[in-house]
Formats: sequence, structure tokens, C-alpha cells
Amino acid sequence: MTIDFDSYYSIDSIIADNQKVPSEFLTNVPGQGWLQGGLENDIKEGAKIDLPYWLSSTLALSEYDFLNLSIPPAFSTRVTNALIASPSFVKLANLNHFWYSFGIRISDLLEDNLKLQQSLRLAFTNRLIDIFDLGQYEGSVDDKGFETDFKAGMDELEKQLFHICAASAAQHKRL
Amino acid sequence: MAVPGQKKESLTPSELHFIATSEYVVEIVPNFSMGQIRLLSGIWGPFTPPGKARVPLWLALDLKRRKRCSIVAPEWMSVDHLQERLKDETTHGEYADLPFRYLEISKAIIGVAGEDVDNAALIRSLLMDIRQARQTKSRQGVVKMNDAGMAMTGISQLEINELRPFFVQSFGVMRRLGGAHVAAPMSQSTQIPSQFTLDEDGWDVSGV
Repeated sequence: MTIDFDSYYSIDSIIADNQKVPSEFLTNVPGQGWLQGGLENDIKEGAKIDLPYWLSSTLALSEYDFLNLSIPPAFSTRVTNALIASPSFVKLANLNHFWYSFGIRISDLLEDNLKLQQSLRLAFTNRLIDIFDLGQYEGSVDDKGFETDFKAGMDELEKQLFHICAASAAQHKRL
Repeated sequence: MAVPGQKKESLTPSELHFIATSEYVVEIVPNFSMGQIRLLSGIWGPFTPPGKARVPLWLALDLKRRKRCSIVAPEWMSVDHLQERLKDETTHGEYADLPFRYLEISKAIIGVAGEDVDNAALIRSLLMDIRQARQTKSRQGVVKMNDAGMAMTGISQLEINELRPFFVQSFGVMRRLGGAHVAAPMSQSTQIPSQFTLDEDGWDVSGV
């Protein structure tokens, strides 16, 4: 098992591609009103819709100005500040189950992505030791059903790392 | 290839045990007489009790199970030496100087030939203490981890094997998240050159 952000066949990266990005339409789009979920037939200029990343990124990067994208709430300044304050206490899973994968995709779209990249990195490097400790613990105890706040708040990527760590710890416990 | 996921990541402890017993050479005191024997790993013997003979660990373990010898525990497995190493381990930041496969070897010897080792129980508990002290150091490695690299001088085979899957994957994630100075690539297609040549409208013109 390898952790993969952009592989074509990776289920996680497909789901990450489907996370919603708040988008504002800059043109009228006839016949596509169903995207808004309402009964209207057309999309009006200025309409704000949450579109999946694969759609919004393609439209936003095309040579016509279809969309204005805004940064999803999961990567807002409020979240970054919370991560700076106490990385282990932020429940990433509540923000987005594919927080890292989605964050990388958003940062690839931004011209000024320094801040977002820094907060992704900050979150990962600071939470890694908690993942490691939890994995080592899970590998050494028989009761695998325990729950902690941190365990419940891990995003999918962190869960994968956690399981890798726990499996390895369990395997090497005896020797 | 249909290899289980865990075997792709790293070796299993039993494979490490196998490697250690094939590689490591110990002294035995045989209780039978025999000339030299020729094995793939070399020529061993002669076996002349009460003299000592040097043989690969696997052979020593096998002879011991047949009650044909007693194993002389290596010097680093003595109580004095291990107590010193434990002191090093708790006072210094680096991993103490122990054989690369010390866990596999000591477990094999104590498990099969515990009666030949003086103070086997004490040695076992010393080894466990040492291992725990070293695990604390490995944990510090996780705290300091970055995408450039890390030095873990003196870490043993089994310890590195335990950490490998987690570390490798974490390094991968860190590299992708990138340093603050590295600009992320726009998409993966820029990294892998296409085998086709496309014109502006996206038509394949490689055959033209």
C-alpha cells in the first residue's frame, strides 16, 4: 500500500477530486441550472455554486473567464490559526476527510499558495508524532477498539499512515 | 506480482531471523568428534571436544536442539557489557554500539540455548530495557522528521525494519506537500512526458 495523491486508479485521489469548491459564475450558462440543485433552467451570472474540484478547476483554468473560485472553508485562515495554536486538537476529518489531498489540489490552483502549503506542512509535521504514538500503541495492545479524540479526527491519509504504523508495530512486537 | 502488501514494504521478522542465523558466526563446544565439514558458507570444524569450534548460528542452533553442543554466548551478550550499553543508551543521544542484528541473534540464542547463557533472565530484561531506550530515540526521529533526510547512526536491522513502512510513506507525503520554497507542479501531466505530440487543439500529430 502506498499513499498516492494523484494516481489515476487511486480511489482516494478520485474522491479528493470530487470535493466541493465554492465557485461564482461570471457568465450565464443556459441549460445547466441543475448544477444548482433548484428548478431553474439556466445558471445566471453571479450565481454561487459548490462545484466538484475536477469541474471547477477545469473551468477556472480555461482561457475564458467562467468562474471565480474561492478557498474552501476547510482551508480558511481560522483553520490555519487553530493549527498553529494546537495542531493535534484540530479535527481534520470534520473539515474534510481528504484534507491533505484536497489541500494540495487547491494549492496547485492558487498563484499565491505559500500560506496554504505552509499550513498543510505544519499540520502534517506536527501531527505525525501523534499518529506514530497512536500507531505504536495500537500495535502493542489487544483491544483495537479504543477511541481517542485524535483518532476520531484523523483524515484519510493520516488513517492510512496510522494503520501502516500499527501493523508494523504489531508484527515486530514479539522479537 | 502477487506479493502480500506487507512483504512489499519491508522484510518480515522471520526473514530477518533467517538472515541473522545464516550470517552470524558463534563459538560452540561440541560433544562429538568430527573432521571438517564443507558447507555453502565455507568450511567449518574440525569438532574436537572439549575444544571450541566456530560455526554459523543456524548450525549451532540445530546442533543444540539435537543436544550435540553447547553454545558459547558472544561477548557482547554478557551482563557487564549490556549494562554498559544500557548506560550509554540512556546518557547519550546516539544509539549505543551493538551488533546490527543484536535482537535477532540474542533472541535465537536465549530461546534455544538459554541454559548455556549465564544470567539468561537478567540478560533478557537488559535487552528489553535497551530496546525500549532505543525506541524512545526512534520516536525523537519522528519528531524531527523533514523531507531532506535524517541520520540514525547505529540503528539495528530489526528497528529499522519496524520503522521503514511508516517512515517511507511519511517522507513521500512530506515531499509532495513540499517545502515552503518549492512551487507545486500544476498537474501530474507535466512530470511525465506524453508519448504523443499534441498540437494546440489537442490533436495527436506524432504520426504526421
